[in-house]
This record gives sequence, structure tokens and C-alpha cells, in this order.
Amino acid sequence: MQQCPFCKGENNLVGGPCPRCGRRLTEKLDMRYEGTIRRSQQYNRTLIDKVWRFFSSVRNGMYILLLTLLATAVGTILPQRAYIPIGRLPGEFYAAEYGVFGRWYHYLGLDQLYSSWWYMTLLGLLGASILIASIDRFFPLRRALRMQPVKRREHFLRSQLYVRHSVIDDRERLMKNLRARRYRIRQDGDDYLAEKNRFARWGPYVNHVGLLLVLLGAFLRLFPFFYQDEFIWIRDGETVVVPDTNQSLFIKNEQFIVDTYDTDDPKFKAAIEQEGRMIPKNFTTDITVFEAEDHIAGDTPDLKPLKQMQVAVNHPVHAAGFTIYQSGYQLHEFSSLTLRTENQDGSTADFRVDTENPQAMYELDNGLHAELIDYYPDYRLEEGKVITETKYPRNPAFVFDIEGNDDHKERLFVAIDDVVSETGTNRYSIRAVDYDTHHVSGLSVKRDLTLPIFLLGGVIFMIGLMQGLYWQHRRIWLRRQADGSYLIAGHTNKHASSFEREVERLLDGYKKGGSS
Amino acid sequence: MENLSIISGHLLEAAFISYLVGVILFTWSAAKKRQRYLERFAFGITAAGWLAQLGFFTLRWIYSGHAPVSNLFEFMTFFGMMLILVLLIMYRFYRFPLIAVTALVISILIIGCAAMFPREVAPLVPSLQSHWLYIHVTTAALGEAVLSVSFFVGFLYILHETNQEKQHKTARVIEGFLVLILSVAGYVLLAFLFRMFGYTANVTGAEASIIYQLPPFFVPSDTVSSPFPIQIMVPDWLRGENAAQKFNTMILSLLAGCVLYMLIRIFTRKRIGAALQPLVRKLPKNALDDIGYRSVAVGFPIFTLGALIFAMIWAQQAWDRFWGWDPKEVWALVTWLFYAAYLHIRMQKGWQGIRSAWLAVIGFCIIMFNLLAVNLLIVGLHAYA
Repeated sequence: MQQCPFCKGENNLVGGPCPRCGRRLTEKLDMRYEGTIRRSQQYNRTLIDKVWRFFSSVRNGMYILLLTLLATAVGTILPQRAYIPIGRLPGEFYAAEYGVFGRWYHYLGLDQLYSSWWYMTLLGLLGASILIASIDRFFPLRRALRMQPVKRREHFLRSQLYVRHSVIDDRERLMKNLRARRYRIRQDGDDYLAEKNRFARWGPYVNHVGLLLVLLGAFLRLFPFFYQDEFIWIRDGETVVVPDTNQSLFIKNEQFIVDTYDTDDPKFKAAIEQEGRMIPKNFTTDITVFEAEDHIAGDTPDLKPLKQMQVAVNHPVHAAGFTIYQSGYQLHEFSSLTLRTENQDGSTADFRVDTENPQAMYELDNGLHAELIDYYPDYRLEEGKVITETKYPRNPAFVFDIEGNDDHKERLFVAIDDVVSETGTNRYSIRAVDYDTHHVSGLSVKRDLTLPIFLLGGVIFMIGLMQGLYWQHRRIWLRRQADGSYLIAGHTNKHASSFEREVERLLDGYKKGGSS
Repeated sequence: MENLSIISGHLLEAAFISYLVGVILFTWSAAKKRQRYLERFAFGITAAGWLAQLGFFTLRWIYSGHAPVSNLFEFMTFFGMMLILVLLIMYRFYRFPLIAVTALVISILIIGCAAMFPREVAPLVPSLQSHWLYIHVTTAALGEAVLSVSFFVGFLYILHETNQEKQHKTARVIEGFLVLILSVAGYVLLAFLFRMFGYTANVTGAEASIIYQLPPFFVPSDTVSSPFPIQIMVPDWLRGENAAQKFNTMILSLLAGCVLYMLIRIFTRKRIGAALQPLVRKLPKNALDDIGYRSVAVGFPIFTLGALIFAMIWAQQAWDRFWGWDPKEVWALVTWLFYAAYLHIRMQKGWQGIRSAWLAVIGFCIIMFNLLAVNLLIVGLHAYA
């Protein structure tokens, strides 16, 4: 048994054509790397040789690639942890929503697959394979293609895929036709070598460089110098410091605007009805970016306005080395709640609780004191317990101890739509009577120095891809025989059938006397 | 303005009918000996249909004010249009009516399915308001369409090569695959018929009620009342959004597919693969293999550019990150990795012919999975959910 060098199938017929791909077994040369020896085939002694040999194999590279492919696909079976509803605990969420499978999915860490050590390792192995397999082939191939003699041995020519004998009367004319097909011709005595699109051979190496740049960019993102990612919520009119900027960068939200589509617009009426809710048209925040003047830590810094601008979805802005994106919003967050207490004699008193800075104690006109015991900015009941889902006042609830002058104390839970007495007696009561709201704009503030690397990687990859896939390296050797006729051999690195058509047309067109 | 929308709808119908006529004519010319005028006529009808669809696309764009590639209906019709475009261009080089038939059948099914999704002109949410919407979507669709050609010829190659004389595993796989394709046709037929007669069934559940467009054989496990006499509760673990309804549609489509399959088998009295084989045998198999490889070689860079690079540039602008492991993104990456493997295996390991053809079939399944299943089964950020 022997292996067919073309289709890699097992072959019984030594000397005959391969039963699978039909090509002759012993006669054709493997021209893939011009038959040159690669480092991985030369050395296999030390550990480095063995590692090199492993990664230089395209077969192993394909195994790594297919493993990566499978792992990547597995990560989409259930939503990744980043996409589960805010406030749900992953351990509880996966089991509750997806049963036993979900529990295992979470237990095996597949809910964070793309940042898991083994997925990173797979990508690293893929990178190593791309790098080593390319180096292993690039240098021998370059050497072979650089030092191409025009005169080749008869055996070499006869071992090419395209072989033909012909009498050439008017060599000049044939050369002219070849040049018209963009072949470059070298001559050595009476022998010729016509070659074109050699650069296509470098396509794979160029695109692999692009891919390695992309992987490098991904690696550099792990360092804060290259990649900083901050998120701030700013209320209308508020000024907020951007975290991790050494208290030097402040952003003020001048105004946050939400537009929705007109429900009466005849064009979109049907679609909006189908959707069943208002469809947003535009989110925009007018911001001012401030830079802090030199100041001593702890002091309130003097702010110097740097730039005034408008951030909208799809229209990020640049300031102070950062890019600012409109990336979230919260409508009608509660800025304050007005609560009304009632004493047992029926006298009432109102007081306002600021959701941002609630006071610890409120002295009321009707002789009551309200002491704030607990504050849940965004409360929700879960299994009978009160929890807060976020730290933003989207659904605030308070627990007050209300005390009259007679030392009687009652503990009351109050939210916008709910009051619960926790002590049982109810001499006093409390309820929400009014509220103020504001909009909050969520801005993502990023500094990403890896973006140019990714973009460059992408561009280089595309160039390499087109270079390698849209052009073919083609060579035609003409060797003069003793009887004055020519042995013509051709090689192309892919798309053999169209190459054969081209050569046929060249030679036949030449014979008929026409130019191709 | 209102008229534009109506005219554009009619143009799509005209295109659909032209494609149907085109498929019949191409099949006819494939079955007969080479008849130039018939082929030309088929080509002309298909090209006319494509122009009508281009008219649909343009008018809808003018009417809605944005490129009509923003929901599943619009994207799928556009993908169908790209398939036909690639077919028309390719037909200038390779005049094989059977490839045209395969491509047209798939396009017709895709456009037919598209019509079953909501067709209203929808306004764009802020994150979609970008020129990148049509740059990214059109390039990605074109890349996928070119890659699909490798499936058309790959499938024909497999039909060509399979031994239909014996009970053979491959022959059965082919029949299974045909049943799947017929099920899609069954779905389009069923949905079309029931919609024509205005059928709806309101199934009331404990918490919410669902409106079925097909007879509700399978209903959620908490169903209170259903207007249909047969009610089969779906198992408890099927509880995604409208899971019971989707399950119902799937089973009915498969049943319809099986019925269609049986009808064809009774009519032809042999396996469909065997019935098609004499036609396919006329094609030169080396040319099929060659076209398949070329379509991947041409389509892969276009796909990379549209579905990954343009997508990432836009995602960086709209969502402040160029990559976020959203299911649609991930499956574009899976598709890309797969075709990268295809090219390496073919060039380095010399997998040609039948093995390459099977890879092309798997590749097309991945593209279809990303087109439909990711939207219908997996919830993601992309608009076509």
C-alpha cells in the first residue's frame, strides 16, 4: 500500500493512475513547496524540534482549528453569563431556566466559555500553529522560488501536471503572446521560463501575519495601558468623574434626549402596533468634558471645560484621549420621594427623601421622628425577602423606624406602591404621595490603543486573502529537445483546469497565427 | 408614497412567480437535449424576475428611508436576491441548467419563508441607524450567497457520485436531506394556504394566549382552551418564547415534507436521488468540483470582509465594542472557521471531489443555521430576532 501524493488516498496500483483522483502516482512531483525540505522534516531530536514539528503540521493545525470551532459553537447553546438578566445569580439562573442541563452548563464553566483558560489556550495554540507552520514553509519556499533556474532537468519537467511536446516555429511570436498574458519571460540559451503572479504564493503568509496581529491585539487588551473601559451613569445636569483617570477627567450631562417614532406616522404605524410599544428613534446626550486643574487629593478640583459635544448612538465622540459612546439610558429614575406620615391623632406631615443622599433622621412637624434603617434603591421581592437589584433608584424602598414622643416605635417599610408594617401595631402610618424623576444617561468611556492593531491586522489579512485566492502562480517551461522541438511543461498552484485552457489557447492560437 | 409600498409588494410577487417559471424552464431544458432557445428563455425570465426584485428593493428603500435589510423578512429576501445575482453571473461562465435549478429552488424557498415573517416597514432603532447597516449586511449576504454556490454544485456532485443501484448509506442520507428541503417547501405551502383562507386559532393558556396561524396540534402544557379538537401538550422543558407554537410549526412542516416526498416517490417509483441521477450524470463532475472550490475561494474573502471586518467596525461604533460574543457574531465566526478549514484541507490535504462536496453541504447548513436558527432559537442582539 502506498499513499497517493495528490489526494492522500491509499493506493494499490503502484505505477498506475490513482483510482481516486485519476492522477498518475509515480510520475508527478509534489510541487507544494517546490519539493524543498522544511525544518520540521529535517530535525527531530530535541524537545524543541518535536514541538516545532507538532505545530508546523497543517494536520495538527486543522485539529486545533476544528476544536476551536466546536468550542465556539458550544458557547451559544445557552446564553453567556454576560447576557443573562441583570440581578439574577448565575448559579440560580441556569438551573431555574434550563434544568439539569443548565446546571451542568454553569458547573462546567461553559457560561463563561470565551474567557475560560482553556479557550484562551486553544486560541494560543492556534496562533502558535499559524506562526510556526508559516515560518516552517516560508523560508524554504522563498529560497526555492528565488533561485529558479530556467533550465530544468527533463525529469522535473515531465513530472509536472501539464506536459506537452510541440514544434515552435516563431518563438518571438509565442513570447509576445505570453507577454500579452502578463507572463514574465526569462531565457537561458534556447530554453525559456514564463512566469506570472508569483506574488500570489505569498498570500497565505501575508494573511497569517494579519491573523497574528489580531491575536496580538487581543493579548494586548489584557493590559490597562492599551485598553481601558469605564462606564458612567450621569443624571441630567450632574457632573461625574470618570473612574481610574486619577480624578482628572469629568463629564457633565447637560441634557439627555430620547426621541421615539411618531405612532401616527402612516409608514410605520403597522410595525409599531406589531411591536406593541414605542420604538426609540434617537438617544443623545449633550455633554461637557472637563479637565481637572492640578489639585491636592481630597480637594474639590477646579474644572476647566475642555469640549462641549453631542454623543449619540452610532456617533461616538473623542475627547482627552478617550472615546465616549452613548451606550445606555434610564428613564424616570426617582430623584426624590415625598412621604406623608400620619400620627395617631390624624395630624400629617410630609417630608422629601433624596434618593441619592437620604438623611439618617427626619424630624417631622407632627412630632414624629423617622429614622432611616434601610434603603433599597431598586427593590424586588425574592422568596419573601427584599433585595435591591441595582444601586440605581429605579424602584426605591425605605425602612423607617417611626417614633412619637411617647417612645413607641414602629418599623415600616415604604415603597412607591407599597407599605408594610413590620412591628404589627399601627399607630403611625406612612405612604408615598409624590415623587420627582430624572433621566440618566449611560456613557461608556473607553481608551483602546489596540484598535489600530486590529484594523491593521484585518486589512493585512484581507490583502493576503485576495492575493492568495484571486491570483494564481503560473509557470511554463520550454525546453529545447535535440530534434529542435520543444518540451513544454506547466505548473499552477491552483485551478489547474483554467490554466490548462490558457496554455492550450496560447499554443493553439500561436499555431493558427492569431494572437491570443 | 403609500403607492410605493404597494407597488414594491407586487414587484416581489412578480419576481417570485418569474423564479418559479424560471425553475420549470430550467428543469425542462436540463431534462431535454441541449436547447439553446429554451435555456435563453429561462435565463431571460429569471433575469427579469431579478430586475423586478431589484425594483422591490429600491422602492422599499425609497419608501422606508433606509436600506430594506433590517429585519428577517427583508434580509432573507435580500439573500435570495443575492443568490439569484450570483447565479446569473455564474451562468455566463458555466451554462449548466441544473445548477440554476438548484440555486433557484433554494432561493425560492428562502424568499417563500421570508414572506412568512412580519412584512411591515419598521422604523430603525438608534443602533441600526448607520451606513454600516447596508454596507455590512449586503457584503455579508453576498459572501454567503457566493459560498452557497459550493453547496449547490457539491450537492449535485454527491447526487452524481452516489451509487443508487444498491441500498447505500449515502443514498439514504440524500433522501433525508431532500425530505428536509421538501419540509421547508411544505412549510411555505401550509403557511401560504392557511393565510390565504385567513385561518387563526387562539389558544388560551393559564398566563397568556397564543395565536396560531396553523392548526394547533401541539399546545403549551398550561393550555386552558383551544379551538382545535386535537391537543397534544408539549413537554414541560419546552418553554422558550412561543416554543410550543414553533414546535407545532416544525412538526407540521416535517409531516408536509414527508407527504410531498411520498407523493413524488409514488409518482416516480424510485428514490428521488435515483430519479434525479440521470439528469445529474450529464454534468461533468470535474467541472462541478472546480466550481465548488472556486466559489469558496471567491466567497471567503467577501464573507470575511462583510460578516467579520465590516461587522466589527460597525459594532465598535454602535455598541462600543467590536466583538461581544453575541450568538450571531459567534456563528459568523464558526462559519468563517469552517470555510478556513475547508480551504486548508483542500489545498494541503488534497480533499477533492466527494469529500469536498460533503464539506460544502455542511458549510451551507452552518450558514442556514446562522440565518434562521440563531434568530429563532437563540436570543441575541441582532435585529432579526
